[in-house]
Amino acid sequence: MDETVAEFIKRTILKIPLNELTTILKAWDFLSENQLQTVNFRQRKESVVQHLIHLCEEKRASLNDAALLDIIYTQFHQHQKVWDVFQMSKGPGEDVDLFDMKQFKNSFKKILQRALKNVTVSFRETEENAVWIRIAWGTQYTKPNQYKPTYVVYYSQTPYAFKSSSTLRRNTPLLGQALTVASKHHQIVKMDLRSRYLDSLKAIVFKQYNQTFETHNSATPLQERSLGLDINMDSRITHENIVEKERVQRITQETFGDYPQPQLEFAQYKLETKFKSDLNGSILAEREEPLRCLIKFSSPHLLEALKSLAPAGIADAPLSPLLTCIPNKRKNYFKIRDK
Amino acid sequence: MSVLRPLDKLPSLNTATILLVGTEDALLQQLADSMLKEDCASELKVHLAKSLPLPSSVNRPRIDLIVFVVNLHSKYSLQNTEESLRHVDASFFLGKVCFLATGGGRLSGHHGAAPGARAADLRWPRARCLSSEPAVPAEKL
Repeated sequence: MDETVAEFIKRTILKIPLNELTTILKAWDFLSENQLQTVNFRQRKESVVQHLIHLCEEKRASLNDAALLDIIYTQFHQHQKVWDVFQMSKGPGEDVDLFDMKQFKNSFKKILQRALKNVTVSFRETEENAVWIRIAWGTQYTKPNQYKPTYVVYYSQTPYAFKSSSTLRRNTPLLGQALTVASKHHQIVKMDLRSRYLDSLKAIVFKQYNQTFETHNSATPLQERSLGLDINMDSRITHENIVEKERVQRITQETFGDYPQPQLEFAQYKLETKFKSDLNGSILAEREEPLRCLIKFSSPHLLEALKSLAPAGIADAPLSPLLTCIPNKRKNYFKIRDK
Repeated sequence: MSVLRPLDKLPSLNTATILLVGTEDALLQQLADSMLKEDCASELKVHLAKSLPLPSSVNRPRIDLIVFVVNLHSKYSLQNTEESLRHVDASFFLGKVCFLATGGGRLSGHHGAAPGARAADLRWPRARCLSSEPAVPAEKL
């Protein structure tokens, strides 16, 4: 086994927390059941890793096997990467061909190898007609850097692909080209949507987030449940503004629905608008050029936070459509200019 | 303009009614629940309102104490309280009004006093007519 491959596998296994190790190794399916049984997973991590490397050597692990392990690790730790969304389109009058996975993989690999000579491309197919692609980038003269790969998740029955954002941005056009040509599309465009939560991005892009699931709460009448009112059993408390409260709950439910919101960490608004002010004679109001300003909303769960603003009494309902349109418009990056 | 007056209704027998006014409903609810858990000489009733004036209602008992709950981090909360104060008769301030400031604890990652409203601002406009000191000192939750 190559020194670099051994080092690569070692570093990958070291990243895996002990409690996930057996699950990931089983998913990798490279070491046999018998081999895994010889390993004492209760030892100190360094000893476990050493034993595993030894077993990999016995079985002559290749670079491809190592890359596959890296893909699986990333699939288990998707939120460690930030994902961008790309949308492809076919040219006018182009037929919808039947998708051939084998042909796609060959074509994709060939395009990259022709351009760069030194590149490692690995694939792992998952359910839902998705393929995870791992690309380690080199140049004409240098070997691929296995420690800064790019991941692409392509849903073959759709024109969408999700790409992990990386620091090596000069390869992005080439990657886009390979993806487009191999999947028999004409054009690729980056959407203004980005998050760590791949599942939420999927839900937004494929419009799957607005499904209400029947829970065990469905015994309570829909009215009570959806109003979210703490129907206060204590008759000593009176809500003076119950009408307003109900209005806010209704508007919130109409805007956000009953279902859990997809998870996003931020929304960013780039403003290029003229300054507007009630005060007359303000220096800024006389300025002809638009002011440039960036507003960023951050939260561990932005959409749920926005949903709870009006019921919590922190904002008026209805909220600005700039905030509420995020899942519908499939954007969390906005550019706002004067009309 | 409807104004709350302290003595415009007859008192109910052995009953005290407190009105909590504030923008954050969940907080008012919490406060009301804790108040009702305490022992009270009379029967205690709590009304919760977002702002004043209250929606007109003949059935409302006489209000014995108004508590304005202000969030120190929210200008909106302060504005709401200021506007509500206009609907309170001056005589209420003789011992029947209380200001409660919330959010006085340290903000995580923020050093120094909490930003936002200053409790002293609440002395304007009504209470100032009576004396230079607020009728009841502001308490921190």
